[in-house]
Amino acid sequence: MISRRPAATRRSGSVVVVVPIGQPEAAVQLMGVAAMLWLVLEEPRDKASLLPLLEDGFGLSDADLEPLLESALADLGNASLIDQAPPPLAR
Amino acid sequence: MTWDSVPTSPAVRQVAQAVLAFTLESGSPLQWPISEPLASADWIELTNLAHRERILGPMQAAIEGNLPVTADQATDAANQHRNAMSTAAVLESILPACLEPFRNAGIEVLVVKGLATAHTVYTYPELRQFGDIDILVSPTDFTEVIKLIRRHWEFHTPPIGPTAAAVQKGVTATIDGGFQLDVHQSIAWGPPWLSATDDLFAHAREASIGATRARVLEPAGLLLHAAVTLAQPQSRLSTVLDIAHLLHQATFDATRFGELVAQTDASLIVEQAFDRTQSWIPEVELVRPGWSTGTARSRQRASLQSFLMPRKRLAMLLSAGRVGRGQRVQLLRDLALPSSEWLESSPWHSRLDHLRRLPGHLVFGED
Repeated sequence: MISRRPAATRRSGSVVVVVPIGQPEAAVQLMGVAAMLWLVLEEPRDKASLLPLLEDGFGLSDADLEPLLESALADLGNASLIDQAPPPLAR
Repeated sequence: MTWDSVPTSPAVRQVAQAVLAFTLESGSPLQWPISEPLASADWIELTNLAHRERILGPMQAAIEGNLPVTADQATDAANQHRNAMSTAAVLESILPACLEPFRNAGIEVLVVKGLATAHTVYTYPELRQFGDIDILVSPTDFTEVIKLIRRHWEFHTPPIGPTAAAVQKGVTATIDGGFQLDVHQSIAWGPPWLSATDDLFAHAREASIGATRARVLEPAGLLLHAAVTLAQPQSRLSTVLDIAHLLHQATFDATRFGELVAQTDASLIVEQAFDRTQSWIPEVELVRPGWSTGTARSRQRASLQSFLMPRKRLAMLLSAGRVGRGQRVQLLRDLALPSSEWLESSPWHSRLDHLRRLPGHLVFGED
């Protein structure tokens, strides 16, 4: 599961300004897929549930979206804006 | 607002009015007063107005709602709005750290003005721009609050003595990132206002301000505070927008608002604020709550209160009832003479400037 870290968020046009709580020096501006992902991450979600959301938002197929999703999640992870829960144990 | 800065160009004023109205009627068709983008000089005047009056959010919303602009104008407005939102987000992110020392000291605070309004009045907080953090504390905690501020942040020493500091409207500190924390003990000036603070605390509610839970003024209190703010010479169009949204949504308790107006003798100030708000948004009829205009005596008091609004120090002098009789001579002296702390920390030109302005400062309460 993926969830966003506590932060202050403001949308300005197609850009989302994100400032982690108590860390104004770590402020980032997100655009495109990363910005959209940040906005839809309000509730913890798994990667599979994000694909249909992006499909609705961008009108693209799964095959096109997969690399965009991976890249956007990597961007958010690099900016320390998301928490990733460990994968569930296999039964 | 800075009422002497009303746009000189009729087109700019018309566009500004339409921009404010658009935020109320968002989603419904709106006829813009211009069919072509503004000429360069008018655009500069409009963006200067939006920047100064903190309505860059409504401007951005209007452009997204097809206000005619050139590509360069759209980029210009987007850049300015993004900068404003960066400031707003940073302030929101440091709010928990600002509230923590008060919580640790057991001092109750309410978040007021920009941060509270953005998150409790507006559907989209991006519409509300602000540049500092404002909180309200009880007058009974004010002395302790000043000590707390001195321990944690850089305290802005006012050019008045310590007794006078205890009856002033609020104090300011510089916090992380050079931003200002304004700590109010009243939402305006004068005796009835100080006594109203405890009542505002009693009716406060909890709200989410981004990722933080904080206590904020009830909607009726936010409306009164906005109206009082608008009566001050330095108020902005962002406050006009607050009043317009509160009246338009009509989700505040009108009876409670009437009680607050009566309690603070603010009927005249509130009427004037509503008039000014309606004058900026003529296309949308704003429904005003009714309240009793009170007795002739209370109307007289309201009139006097309104007259005194810009005379800050003089109005605060009337608060001397909070200061013991034996301290009143010292209070007068403190109002007249700068504090030794301020003298030590201020350059000579500030001291000279203060001396030059002292007559106006004492008689009219001008800063």
